[in-house]
Formats: sequence, C-alpha cells, structure tokens
Amino acid sequence: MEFFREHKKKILIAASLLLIVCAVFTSGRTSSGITGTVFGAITRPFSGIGSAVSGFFSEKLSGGKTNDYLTAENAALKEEITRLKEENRLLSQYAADNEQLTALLDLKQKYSNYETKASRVIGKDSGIYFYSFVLDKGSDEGLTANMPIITSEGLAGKIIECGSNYSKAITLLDARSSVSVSNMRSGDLGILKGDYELMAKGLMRMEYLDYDSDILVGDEIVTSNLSDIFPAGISVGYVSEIIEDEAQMTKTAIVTPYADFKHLDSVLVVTGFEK
Amino acid sequence: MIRIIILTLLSLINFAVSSTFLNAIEIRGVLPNTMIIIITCTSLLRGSREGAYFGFLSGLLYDIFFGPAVGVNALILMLMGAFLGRGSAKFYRENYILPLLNCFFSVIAYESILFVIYLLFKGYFNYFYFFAAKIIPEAVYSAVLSLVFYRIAYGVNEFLEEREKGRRRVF
Repeated sequence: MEFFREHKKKILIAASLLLIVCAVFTSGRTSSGITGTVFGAITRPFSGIGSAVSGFFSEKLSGGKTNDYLTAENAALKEEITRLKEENRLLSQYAADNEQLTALLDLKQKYSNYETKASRVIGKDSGIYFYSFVLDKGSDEGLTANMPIITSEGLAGKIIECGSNYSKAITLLDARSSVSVSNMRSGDLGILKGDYELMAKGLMRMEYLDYDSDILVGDEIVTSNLSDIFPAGISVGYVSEIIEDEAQMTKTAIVTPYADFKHLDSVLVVTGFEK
Repeated sequence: MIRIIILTLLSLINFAVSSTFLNAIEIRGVLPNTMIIIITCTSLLRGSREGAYFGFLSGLLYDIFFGPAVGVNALILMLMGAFLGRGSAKFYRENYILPLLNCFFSVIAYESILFVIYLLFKGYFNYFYFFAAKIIPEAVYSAVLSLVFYRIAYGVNEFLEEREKGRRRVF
C-alpha cells in the first residue's frame, strides 16, 4: 500500500501508456486473445446470473399470464399452425418445382442452404454510440468472426469478435454494420448501413440505389446474392421512407428491420453456408 | 485489502447489471451511466487511488466485451477517477451538490471524449445531435441517480471506517 501511495503518479502514467499501446494494437481484431479468455471466464457467471434475473423479471412484468390469456393465445396459435401448414404444403410444392426447373435449366441454386447454431444473448452494450451485444458461445463451439446472426423474424447482425466462450456481435443498427441487400420485388441492389442518428429510432439506411431504380414504400428487403458473409434471401426489413436526392441523382431508402433489437434473447448463428 | 476486493466485486457486479437488466430503468431510450456514478462516489469518499482503480477495472471490462479497442474506456475512466479524487479530503462529505455536479460534468466529458475518439476520427461531425439527444439526457439521469448511490455509498463507507477504526484499537 505504501508503495502505491509513494509512486502514484508514476503508476498512473505507466498504466496510461500501457493502455494507449494496448488500444492501438487491439483495434480491429477479430479474436480476443488471452485477456479476453481470462476475463470471459471471470465474468461469465456474473453475466449468466444477470441475464437469468432479467429474464425472470421480464417474464413476470410482461403481463400476468392468466388462464384466459393462455387459452386465447392457444386458440390463436392453433389457427396460425393450420395456416402455416397450408402455406408450408404450398411452398414445398414450389420448392420441388423450383428444383426441377433449375435442374432443367442447368442453373445454380439461388438460395443457399445453411447450418445454424442456437445461442443466447447474455449482455447488451449500455453505451450511446454503438449497438452491440454478447453471445454465450465462442470459438470453442466453432463460431468465428463475420458469421451472420438471425432471429425468427429476420437478419439481426453479425459476429465481429470471438473469445473462447463468448462472442461479440453487432446489430444491423450499429454504424459499423453494412450488408449487401436487394429489393425482393424488383431485384435492385443496395447497401444497407447502420446510421448514428437513425439508430435511436431503430431504423437503417439503404444506400447506393440508382436514381431510376424501382423501389416503393413497403417493399421487402432481403440479403443479396453478392455477399460473401450473408447467405442470400434472408429477409431484413421493409422500406418505410424514400429520400430522393436530385442533385446527386441517387435515392436512399429508410428501412425498418423485422428483428426486434430491444428484446433479443435467443438467436441463431449461421455457421456455414454453400454459395 | 478488503476495500480492493469490494471494489473488484463491485466492478464485476456493475458490469453484469449494466449489460443485462439496466434496460428495465431506461427512460425514452436513455440509460444512466452507472460506471461514472460509482467512480464519482468512490473517488469523492475514498480519494483518487480507489477511484482510479475502479475506473480502470470497470473500463477494462467494458472495453473487452463492447469496445472496438481494448484500453480506451479503461484509460479515460482511470484518469477520471484519479482527477475527481483530487482534494477529496478537503470537501465536506455530507454535501450532496458535489457528487451531483461531478457526475453531471463527468458524463458529458466522458461521452465527448468517446465521440472524438470513435466518431470524429471516422468523419462524423454532427456532435450537436448527440449532445442534445443523448449526452445531456444521460448526464441528467446519471446525476439524479448519483444522489441515491452517493447516499448508499456514504453509509457503507461510514460503516467500513467505523470497523477499521475498531480493528486498529484492538491491535
């Protein structure tokens, strides 16, 4: 203790220099080395307890699950199952048709098959500049950086860094995220980017659209087949506004995502897909 | 020694809480900055050494799990803790205005430095949007919450100091 009191300034300066060097060398890494592994092991129980407690309370708070409510929900779900089964039957017919026709025309399959791994979100960034979260699986389970993350609603983001038992991921709203997407109706391509100012409203920006491209409010946006990271055809969101810039001869679309980033809980990580 | 263990545990608990169920107390998307609240309380009550230690530890944790580069938050928060703890022995601890103002201005300074490091160097210049829409609400929320935290920390500190005094008499 006496040592610390005596050399307070020196320790402070040494630590500052160390941290600056650390920051310079660790920016933009894709796997967190030994420090990440050690701290990951230390904080995992705390984060696990935290997310368990928060899950418990959000379950309690989100409306009393009374008997009536559950009965009504059950009836609605049964109805939906019937509808989905019917739809599924139709779609599998289409799939079979599609397979035959593509084989006939000697084309490559447009939609790629991919494998997924279920994972849980154990922490969310509380800062104001970024929109990232932490998953409970890491490189031990075969995850690496740049793997896409999807929810049942649609694309959610991608992994940017992997520790041994956790991984850091960014959502589509984060300004560091950019995804090659296309308009499902017309096939026009664009780049979907997060934006610092739209982040608070939960929206994204689709850029590099041609001025004469055919895009309307309500169009569904899906991932394009140009991307090396994201499999083609995953739905992302729908167009909610179109901004025309006549001077620059470009269009920008504001896209509302399908995924609910505020209540991300269990997600699927796409571990491998054939292009 | 017991204080170091308490601060270490506190930084781990703070990290877990702020990354999981702090969302429960958000007001229109604004979250309080619990790291800075605890730093202002510790450094006012215990001086710059413990403020800097807590700032370093919690900043490092935040950096490893959320920051784009390890060391940025740790450096800012460590220096902040060291700075805020200067002359802490000379102030009246019973006064509630000092933690309030310290917390308010620290949050503004912290977020502004992060803006320069993360956003300005990447070519994003609209500081006033963030200042008006994010930084000021966060600073106000944190400052108000810091009063509650300060009252609790003050009580805990009194208790620990009494205990340490008693122990010293025994030996």
